[in-house]
Amino acid sequence: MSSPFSINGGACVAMVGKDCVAIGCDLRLGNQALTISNTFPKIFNYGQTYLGLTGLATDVLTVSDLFRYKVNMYRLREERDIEPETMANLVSSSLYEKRFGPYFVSPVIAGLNSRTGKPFICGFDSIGCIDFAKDFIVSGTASDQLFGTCESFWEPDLGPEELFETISQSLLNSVDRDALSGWGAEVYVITKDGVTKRLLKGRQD
Amino acid sequence: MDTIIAKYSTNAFEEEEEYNAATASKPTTDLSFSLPPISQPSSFLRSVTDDAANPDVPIKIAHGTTTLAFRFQGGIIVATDSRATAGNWIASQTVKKVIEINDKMLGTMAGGAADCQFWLGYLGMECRLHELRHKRRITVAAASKILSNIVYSYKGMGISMGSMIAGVTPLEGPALYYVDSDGTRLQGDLFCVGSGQSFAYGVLDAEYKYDLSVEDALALGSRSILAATHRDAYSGGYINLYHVKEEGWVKHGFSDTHPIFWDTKIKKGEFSNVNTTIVGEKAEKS
Amino acid sequence: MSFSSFQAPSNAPAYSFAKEANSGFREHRFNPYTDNGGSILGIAGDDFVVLAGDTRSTSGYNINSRTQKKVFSIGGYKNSLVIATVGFGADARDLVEKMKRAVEDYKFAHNLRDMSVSAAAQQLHTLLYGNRFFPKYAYCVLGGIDSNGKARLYSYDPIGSYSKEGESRAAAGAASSLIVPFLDNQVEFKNQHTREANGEFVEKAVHPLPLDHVVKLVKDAFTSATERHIEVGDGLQLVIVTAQDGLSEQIVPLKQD
Repeated sequence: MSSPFSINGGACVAMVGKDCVAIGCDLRLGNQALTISNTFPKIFNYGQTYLGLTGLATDVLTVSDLFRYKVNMYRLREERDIEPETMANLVSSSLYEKRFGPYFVSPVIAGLNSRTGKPFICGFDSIGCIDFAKDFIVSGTASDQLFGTCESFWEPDLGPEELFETISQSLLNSVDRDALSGWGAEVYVITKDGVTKRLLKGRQD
Repeated sequence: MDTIIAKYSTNAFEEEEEYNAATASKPTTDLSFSLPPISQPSSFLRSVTDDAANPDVPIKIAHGTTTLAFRFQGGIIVATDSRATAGNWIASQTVKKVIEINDKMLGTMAGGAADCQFWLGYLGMECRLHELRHKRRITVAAASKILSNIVYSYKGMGISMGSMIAGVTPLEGPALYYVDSDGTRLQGDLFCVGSGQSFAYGVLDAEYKYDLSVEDALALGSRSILAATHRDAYSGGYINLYHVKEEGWVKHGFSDTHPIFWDTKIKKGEFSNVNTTIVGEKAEKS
Repeated sequence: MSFSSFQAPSNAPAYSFAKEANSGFREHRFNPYTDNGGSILGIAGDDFVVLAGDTRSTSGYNINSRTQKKVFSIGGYKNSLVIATVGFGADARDLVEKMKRAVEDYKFAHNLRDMSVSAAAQQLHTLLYGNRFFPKYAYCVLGGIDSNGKARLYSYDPIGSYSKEGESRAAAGAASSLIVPFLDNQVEFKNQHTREANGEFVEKAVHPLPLDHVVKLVKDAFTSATERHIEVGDGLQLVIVTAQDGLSEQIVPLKQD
């Protein structure tokens, strides 16, 4: 398996609920079969907007830092936090700049619009094509498994606690069927009243 | 008319053997395998099954394992994980990688699941035939040699297996052999086989002594597999534990690694690399 | 914003129509397999087995059939043996025919005694391994009722590896990676916990599911797979084998897009 997308492994998923969104990722960083670290979260926050990045680990770090720089510049110019919709377009155009030598990442965005309170999630391919989904977005080496579990478990208008249960079950059961993902997981639930971050106790094999 | 028809037509099957091959569902213990109608069957086979060389092959054969066995004062400990993977996909978490050849001999599976299953099953049959023919149990040395001779005769055809044969006979006492599909056959005190072998050796070599008590030996076998399932992506699932004694083998459970791991971590304070609280909050602030 | 950071391809043209230098000889590769897509699934209860498969048959992006069944009855003990196959349609069908013959031959060679499900399981293993060096491109799931009236379910890789103990659920084919994690959770209760009286969480105990619940799970699994996999859809063939009522079949429509 020498695809840059599956050298390090990892999985990420975002879901929409009623006036809330959730985003979760696993914690593994590996070098092919060898697990190197189990403290490698793949979700980064930029104000109220959350970005999940799976793929080549070096690019995950590079891209997360690149957007920290870009979002900070945006904040200085605009004197406000970036909205998730704006972030989506920033990610898209930034990735397309590298059309012929892309970052090997599959980003996922989740957040609430700070003005309207509307939940927003989207996903991208590695060169910035946006997938605006109303239900859920998956990425990483366990994406097939996540498609299956999310499509089965997700339903519209879930409250924050139900959404947490749904995304956690989808994530845990998916990474347990992927050799390159797992070793613990993190889940964020984002509501207008605040953000809860939870560490999931996952299988360590 | 009949003579003319006979002259200008051939039987659908020229040879009786060909007819049998095409129609009969006879047992393949006569070992006539069907081959593709080309000059290099093995290179064809590689092109459709070798997922290490090409991840998009149509037929993915289950691989990846950690197995171990070691001799000690109380007999032999045999332990395995239970994961089967096809590429990065975990095909099963409940594979029984210890094959009970008879009530005094065990074989372990690593490599191609079907290869191990078929040939260790076939070895079981040969061992029983040996008993019937010679009125005594086959030695582990002889049994392992039957297996290594078989796989050696198919060398280069794509069979993949790494197996350990463990047993007790009056002639040899507790005996352990390693056999693989290259044709290697080794007698020894301690072996680990599979993608997670080096992780298992790491734990096993540090703590192994011939004078280990039965309880400690079982714990060591289990702990070595646990270490391998933790670090090796292609090992995991359940720990399959056996103890081979003079009276025959005894099974010591097929236990999920998940609760064992967290018990080992929390009660014994090992695996401190795994966190139970969220870390790195400070660095995240932007 | 400028596009100055666009990175142009370095040297050779990367157009899809760019021709490679003709090296003279071209050899055609022996290519005896086609992937006909689709997915199968089996769940065993206490005294019943459900085997299911979608009825779409594809080749690349084309749909060859919307009504191709993947589950077959092969007779045997109380006429309860059923096989589901996916992979290359021709190899799959050949295996089913060979199994039907093996079951029939067994009957006449054993004083009209029907083949048991465990014997059929071993037979399929030998049959598949007999093609070790020219594998049948077919993933099989075999179900049936044993002599104690209990359900048995076995699943195989293309060269015949299987578990003699059987399984509670099995899936294979194009969408197996979508279906299996769902089944882990809903049939084996993986990652589910119950709270004990003392407040501690323990893993939820596994127990055989009732038939109506299993049928619901199978339909859920396939409607989900149909949404997200292009090779799955059109119809769902459900074959139910019970110890009391024998074999029954139903076809449920799935999305055709």
